[in-house]
Amino acid sequence: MDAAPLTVKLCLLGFGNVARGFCALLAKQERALADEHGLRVVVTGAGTRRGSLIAAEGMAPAAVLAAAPKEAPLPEPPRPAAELLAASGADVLVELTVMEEDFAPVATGHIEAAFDLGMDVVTANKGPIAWNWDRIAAKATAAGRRIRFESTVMDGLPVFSLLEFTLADCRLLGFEAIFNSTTNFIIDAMARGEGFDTALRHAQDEGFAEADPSHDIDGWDAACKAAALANVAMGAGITPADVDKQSLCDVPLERIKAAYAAGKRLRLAGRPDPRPRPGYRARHRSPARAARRGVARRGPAHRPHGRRRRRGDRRPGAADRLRRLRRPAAPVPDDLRPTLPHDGGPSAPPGPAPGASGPLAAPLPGPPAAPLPTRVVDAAPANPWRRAILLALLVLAVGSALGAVGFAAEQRLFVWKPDVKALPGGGWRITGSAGLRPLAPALAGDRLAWSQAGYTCLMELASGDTKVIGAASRGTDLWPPALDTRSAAWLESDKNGVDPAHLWVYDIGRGRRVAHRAGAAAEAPALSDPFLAWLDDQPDGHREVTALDVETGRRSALATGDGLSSPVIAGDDAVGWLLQPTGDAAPTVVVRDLGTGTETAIMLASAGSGLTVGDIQMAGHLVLWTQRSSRTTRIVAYDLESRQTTTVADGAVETPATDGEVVVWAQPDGTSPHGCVVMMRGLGGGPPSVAARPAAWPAGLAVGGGRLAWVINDGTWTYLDVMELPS
Amino acid sequence: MKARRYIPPPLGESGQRVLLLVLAELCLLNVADFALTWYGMWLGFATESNGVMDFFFRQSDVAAAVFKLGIVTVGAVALWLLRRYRAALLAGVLLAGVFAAVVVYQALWILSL
Repeated sequence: MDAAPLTVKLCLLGFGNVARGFCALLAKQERALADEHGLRVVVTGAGTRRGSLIAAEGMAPAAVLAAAPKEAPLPEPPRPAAELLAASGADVLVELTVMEEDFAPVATGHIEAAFDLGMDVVTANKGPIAWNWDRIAAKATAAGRRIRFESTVMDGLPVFSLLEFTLADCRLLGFEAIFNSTTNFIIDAMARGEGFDTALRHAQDEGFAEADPSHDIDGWDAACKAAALANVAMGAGITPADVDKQSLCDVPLERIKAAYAAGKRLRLAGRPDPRPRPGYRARHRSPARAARRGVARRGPAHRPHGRRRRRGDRRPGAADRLRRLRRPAAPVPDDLRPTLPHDGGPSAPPGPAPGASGPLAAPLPGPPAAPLPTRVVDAAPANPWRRAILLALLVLAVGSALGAVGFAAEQRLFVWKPDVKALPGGGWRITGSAGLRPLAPALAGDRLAWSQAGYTCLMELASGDTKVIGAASRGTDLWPPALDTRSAAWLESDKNGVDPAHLWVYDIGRGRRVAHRAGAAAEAPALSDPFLAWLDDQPDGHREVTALDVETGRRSALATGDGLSSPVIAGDDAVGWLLQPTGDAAPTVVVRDLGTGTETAIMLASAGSGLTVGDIQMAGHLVLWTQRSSRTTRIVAYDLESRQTTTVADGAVETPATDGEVVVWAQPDGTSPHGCVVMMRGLGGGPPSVAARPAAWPAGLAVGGGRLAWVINDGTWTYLDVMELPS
Repeated sequence: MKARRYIPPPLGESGQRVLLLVLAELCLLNVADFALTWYGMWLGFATESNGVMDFFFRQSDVAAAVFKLGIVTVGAVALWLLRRYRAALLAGVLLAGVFAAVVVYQALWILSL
């Protein structure tokens, strides 16, 4: 024998279309409920503002429909809600009254009264959930009663059941939803060209919109649903007044049409917003940080009604499942989708004024509505790439900044640069201490090259700009640089004379340097554009003078054999080398014109004269050298064009230098405060004259381009000065 | 009670957009890095300190270019295929940031020559 079905008594508050449809559905499913679930559903009470019905023994839903046909009030006079609920003796209150926007005091009162009477509650009224969820949940917990409200959001779609059952133990991080279909209908109609009023009328004709559509149009309906979902599923503790809203009236028609033309639709969307506001902050870290870290917050530190959640709090009984839904989650970061500007003004809830009452009214006090900005979000944002582009550019900017900072730090901390200062009377001074002595200056045109502590440096004399164009590798020696108007060259050779040397040529115009291989015994090169020449050893043990065309890279052997000696010198299209025969033969410089191939032999001293030759150099078409005897030193010049030998100076002269037009040298001077003077003499004729008076005996002189350079060691510092020659 | 291990949610659509742009940025920066490296070596002031790249540069500039551009492109494609993982975005961002730093460093260094 089948067990008797369980009778469930319902009390219906509100008996409009929804309640009638519900009763019709119950009547239709009566047999199925009994057979499959063992349930018999009866109505013991029903009430509206215009009438009521009490049937303590219970009426079948079909009988209730018959007792109150459509448009007709319930047969008995209206009763206060509390009286109706008590008289009905129902097990479940089905709360179907119209939503009030003013904190839902009436419907909340119905629900709380039902809990007090030991009833469970089912409601389709989103007002209590949106406005007073915390109170209702607490009351249900205290009374050990259940409340169901699935149809409050998204109508028949199972939103809350989905979260409660299907996604049990999952944490809702956020949502974005289109809650209101009336605005969808109107927006689509407007996008097709209809005016707002026409679209609204069509919506009303189709049954989408109510006779008073302001609830939908101004965003309150969507705000209530969003607040209900956020309250229940995320523990947001907010009210619809806390939700940013914007009226559809404020959305320009052009925007709707532009979205439509782009194949998109404008929609009123709702979502949680992590923007901080008073009373809704994370306890330990900012919402943005929490979202960034992907860590859920423990919960809002604040509840709208002043109660903080405490560790160990528990809501037992039927509310356990609901509490699981209420587990708070990290707010979802704003996805930066384009939003309309809000009106910024206070927004009061539309609809009936607070305190509206009727036969079922049980007004409750509510918190004041907070004026908040409003927001409409595109369902299909105009430019979803904007945020991505900004973030990609941010990555680029941060990386670039790090690179720039690293470069600046390296330049400041680890990169050596010569210490260059301008001299008061014009010219420049490069200073170095013991390990950083500047050496071997070379002048050509408006540039100065020198070597300093393993570095080869080049300076633009007009501006003072200095570059380090060469740095000796570990285990190598750097030879003094040669310089002409287009290139600088220097030799980097192995300290042990084992590994091949490298001849570096720096192209001043292009800022490029190229290394050429040379023998391990290569010696300092001479440079005369475009030829680089040097003395090197051959594998067979002979020495060779090699010339390299730096533009083409072509090498040629100029001379091979014994007796070749350094230095190799170079001038205009000519390369020279010293031929030092054995025995008493006279030392000779052989100069080859690389254009014509002709060679000129210059005897530097007569055979058997006992003179020592040195300081051999070449500039332009001039070959210069010194002849030393026990009594004097003579500076001798040979002009390759006129083939004449000239004695430039005679006496205690030292360190001569020439640029092909002027010869300079140092000599003692009793009238000078430092005991020496640098003299100069033009090769066009005329007597020697004083070029400058150095502070100490110069270690090296260079002349070129109308400038004079010397290296001075004053005992503490070694410095290289470059200055204009007197005219 | 044993703590549950936190499992980050998969990379969303907006994150994948960022990843795509970052990977495109990475490929462009790689081209710039190769160009600046090649130019620095052509100027004679730079040497390739990466042994693998130095090997390819010794073969030819084209071989070095093919290897360098190819390996980074393959890496970028791999990261794109792994785009549902947040680690892919993190890796892409880090790589792009490092490449940006290297490229800017090289550019400034060459300008200072």
